[in-house]
Amino acid sequence: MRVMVMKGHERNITRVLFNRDGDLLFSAASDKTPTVWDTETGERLGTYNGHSGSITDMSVSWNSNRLVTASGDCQVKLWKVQTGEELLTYTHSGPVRGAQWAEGGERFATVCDPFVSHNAKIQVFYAPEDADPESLSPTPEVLIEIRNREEKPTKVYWTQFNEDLLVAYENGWVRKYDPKTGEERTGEGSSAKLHEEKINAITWDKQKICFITASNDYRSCLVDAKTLKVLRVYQTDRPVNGAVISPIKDHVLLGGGQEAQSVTTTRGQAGKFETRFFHSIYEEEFGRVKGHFGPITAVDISPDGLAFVSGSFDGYVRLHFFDDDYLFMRDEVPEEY
Amino acid sequence: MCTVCCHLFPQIIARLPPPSPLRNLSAYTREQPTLMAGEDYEHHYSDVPIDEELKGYISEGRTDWEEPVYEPDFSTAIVVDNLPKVSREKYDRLMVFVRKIYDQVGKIAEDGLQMPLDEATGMTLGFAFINFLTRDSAEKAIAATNNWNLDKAHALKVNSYVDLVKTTTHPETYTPEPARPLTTVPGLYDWLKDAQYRDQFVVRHGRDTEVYWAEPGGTPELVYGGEREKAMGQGRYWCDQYVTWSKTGAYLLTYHRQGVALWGGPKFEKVARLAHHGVALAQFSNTDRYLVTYSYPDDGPGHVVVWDVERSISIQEQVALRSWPVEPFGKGNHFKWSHDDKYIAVGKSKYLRNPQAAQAGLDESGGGGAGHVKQGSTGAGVGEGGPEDGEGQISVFEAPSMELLDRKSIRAEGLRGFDWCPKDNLIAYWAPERQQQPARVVLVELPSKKEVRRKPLFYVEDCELTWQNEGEYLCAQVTHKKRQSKKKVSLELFRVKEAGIALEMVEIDATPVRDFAWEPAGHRFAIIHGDDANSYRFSVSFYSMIHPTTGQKEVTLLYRLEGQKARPVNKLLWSPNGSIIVLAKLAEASSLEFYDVDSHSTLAKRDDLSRIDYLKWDPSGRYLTDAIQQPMGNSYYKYSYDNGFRMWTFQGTLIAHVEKNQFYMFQWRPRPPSLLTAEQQRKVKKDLRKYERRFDKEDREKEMNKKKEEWRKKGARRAEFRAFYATRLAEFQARKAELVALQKGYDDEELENYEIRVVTRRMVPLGDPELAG
Repeated sequence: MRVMVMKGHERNITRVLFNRDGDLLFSAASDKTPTVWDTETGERLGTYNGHSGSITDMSVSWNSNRLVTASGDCQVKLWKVQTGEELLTYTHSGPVRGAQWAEGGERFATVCDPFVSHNAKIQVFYAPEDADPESLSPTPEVLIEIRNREEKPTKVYWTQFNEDLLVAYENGWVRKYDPKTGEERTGEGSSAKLHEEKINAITWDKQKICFITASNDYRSCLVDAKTLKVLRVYQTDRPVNGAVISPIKDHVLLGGGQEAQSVTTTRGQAGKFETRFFHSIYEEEFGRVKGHFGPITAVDISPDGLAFVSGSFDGYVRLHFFDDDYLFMRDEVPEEY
Repeated sequence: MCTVCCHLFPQIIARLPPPSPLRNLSAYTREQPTLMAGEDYEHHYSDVPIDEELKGYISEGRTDWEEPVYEPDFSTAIVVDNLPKVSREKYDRLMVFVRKIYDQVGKIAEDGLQMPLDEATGMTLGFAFINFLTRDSAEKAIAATNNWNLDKAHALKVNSYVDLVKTTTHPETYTPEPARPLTTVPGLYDWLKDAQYRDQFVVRHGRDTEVYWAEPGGTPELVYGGEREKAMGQGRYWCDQYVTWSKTGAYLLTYHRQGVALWGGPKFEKVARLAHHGVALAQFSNTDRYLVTYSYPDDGPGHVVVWDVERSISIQEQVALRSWPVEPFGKGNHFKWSHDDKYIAVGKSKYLRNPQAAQAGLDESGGGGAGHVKQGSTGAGVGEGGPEDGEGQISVFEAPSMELLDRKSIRAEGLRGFDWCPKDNLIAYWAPERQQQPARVVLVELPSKKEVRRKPLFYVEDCELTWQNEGEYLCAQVTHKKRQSKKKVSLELFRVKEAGIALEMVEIDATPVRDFAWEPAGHRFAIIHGDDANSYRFSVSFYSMIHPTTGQKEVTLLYRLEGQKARPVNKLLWSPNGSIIVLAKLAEASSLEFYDVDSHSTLAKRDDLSRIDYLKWDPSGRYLTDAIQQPMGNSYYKYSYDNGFRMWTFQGTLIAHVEKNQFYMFQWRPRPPSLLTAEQQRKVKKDLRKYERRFDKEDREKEMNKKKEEWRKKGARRAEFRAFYATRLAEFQARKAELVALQKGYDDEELENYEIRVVTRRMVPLGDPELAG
């Protein structure tokens, strides 16, 4: 396997992300500068300078024109991808944990933590691409306050056709909200407790039919987005920080590892800082990719399924290009069964 | 009213003056109401007026009362009989006299000495009750004064009150116990008849106890995992404690709070339940006829029970041995069965090492069943002289009568360690130097108790006795006291089967010796030795008891892995079939090396393993397993990660790795000794090829069938998943226009939105002229 190691961050990686075409790779870390790389050459194309806190999440719009970044400095920033120009800053009431573009890139949603007297908030901002940047409003279109201080949202996502906001919580729940009114959905398939512990990340398949969760309870779940029913469970023995579904194979990739705080007490090898490959249907692990020397904090797979990227607590981003023996690997069960 | 007398001698009550009662007895019998189990506490006290002020402090309607249980304890009382019968005038003098005797033994409770009078004659009745403050004093008093001659006519008869009650209330006539209905015992050894001759093992993890067949293909096959118990519902499970196999593998023993249970047969049905409250350790005898259970921390009488396994009765209770030298757990008692279960030897000395201490971890004998027992100290060091310095004996009891052989123990002053020969009724023991006597290793033959060999030794600091498993050789690994700069180690090697028991000695220069192991059923042994503190690499030496070329009975160094070949190793593990040995390092970072001793070559080596804390060959020598376990009942444990076990073939190929959260134990099911003679075994080895083909074919077929079965299951899951996905995809396609509208008319499935690049790759052999051109 061909590997590119990208050293562009000074602190632990928090998010890695391919754009829709797979030619750009975005990485964010606990340092303040999200970075964009050329996937083919590994060249660093640029950074987005302006935040004063660690980056917790980011999202690139469908046509790769604009980027939103969420940060611990209570700000969300909207950037022009090509130039690195900062278009607007959205100041929040607490550290921001998640930001996500809606389909079509007209709106994005954010979640922020409770802070002093402020409750946790989920907000939707209207930021059409063709509008004059001057006319964009930093006030949210929709604002949902989470009054229950025990419930902390960790990430926010949009479901198929922007029907719902899907919010993941620290206690392992996911809930759906109406993105227009901000009301919590009720009834079948509107909320579910998927994990015993914090949900670190969620990623979708291409058509947003299923999503995969990554949680501190050592598991990942493949979930039917419509009913929120758990279809498959992938069990590991370390916290899972990121998980993705392969677009071309019945595989899922899980990245994780022993918590960074207890790493020093064990040998590097015992920390299991590996990307694990599971068969998505049989739930069986069949391979691991080593290389990092800290827990893996984020993974993504290129839209063509030919490469995957992992970011780690060690500050490195590793971009792996699959070999033919992986790409031409057949399903262990012959088709006639 | 004195309850003791009422109880014992109702006929004399009327004539007795009312003596003051024994204090601690009265407390339970006079004023206080006795609660019956299950009776409501409130029932007794509800009518007692409660002080108004107190009311606020008493929670009403509480139902979680601990029922107070009153157990009248008579164990501090003794009965002294055969005292002189004296008149009232001499009564006081006798009382003073008796008190003087027993005051020396222990403190008598207030009003604790009672000597009843016969009203009619005015004479004493010739016995007295004495109530001590502690049970200890009572026991001491019995031991010290029973059969003691007060004068010519009066030899005291002293008994514990409890025993006396037992005897007097025993029915005069014998009523036979109703015959127990015959139950069919499941085929205890059926597992040996497995068509593929596989071996079984048990694992404990989480709340599960599971027995598996080891499969040559790797993934083990479940035999029984407590399904019966789980089906009973109410969150029941098979066993929540440790489990252990019996010595021949006939039974699986599970520990429970109330005792132990034995399971056997193809589906592990319950064979017996042996009640022993608070049992902490159970040890089977070598042929599985007997079982010894110990409880902890209770060290009173009955804390060690010997059971007849087949009849599931306690034989110790039956014979009611007075002389059974039961000592509190961990205070220097060794129970060891002879190979044929004819005898049990009990060593008694303050120097004996705690038998359980060695059981934690990798020890062979105890089956690791009782890792949860708190460990006592591992025995005192040498040179720690004291008044009991000379103490030490080995008592050999005959099973099942449990009577002391010849009614006398074997004297073994200063006894430090002993063990039975695994194939003969021969005991080897050793004792250190004391009072001008040299240290010694002694071999005693049973039942004659004849000393067949004695080897005096000097400047001994420690000694370890290791029998070869066929009982042909015995090694005494003697660590000598430091004389110059280094501690010297010598191996005293006994050829037990030879007339006169020939003895040879090998001196090891590079010390300390870290491990010693006999080749099973062979003539070789291996040791790890040397002191290389910097690189943690040690030498491994292989010796033979028979000279390899001349065939003479002469201890010979075969070869030594030293210098460049020294290895980081601290544990030796011979394959049960010999020839192959595992040189292991068991530490935070462990390593395993499969080494062929015959060809001096490494078969396989792995040095990237994390902490291994269990390492064992299966009984047939086909597999080696290592396990990473955590102690039971430990909610936070550093190594809760990586728990599980790995299985290797004897060539060192990893065939299975099973990871389980909270993995507590792994144990191979032992096999009983082979019934084939040495001649027959040789024949089997000769015809191995023939068997090999048959088994290979069977294995392949089985593997294929298993695979097909698995494919069917997986195929069904795949079909079900794909059907689901197709429905959802159709739903998406029907509404796809909405997404295209959101993307302002851009459809990313529209081919014209893509730049299509065709990449052709071709494999070109090296040196191809086309490539060169």
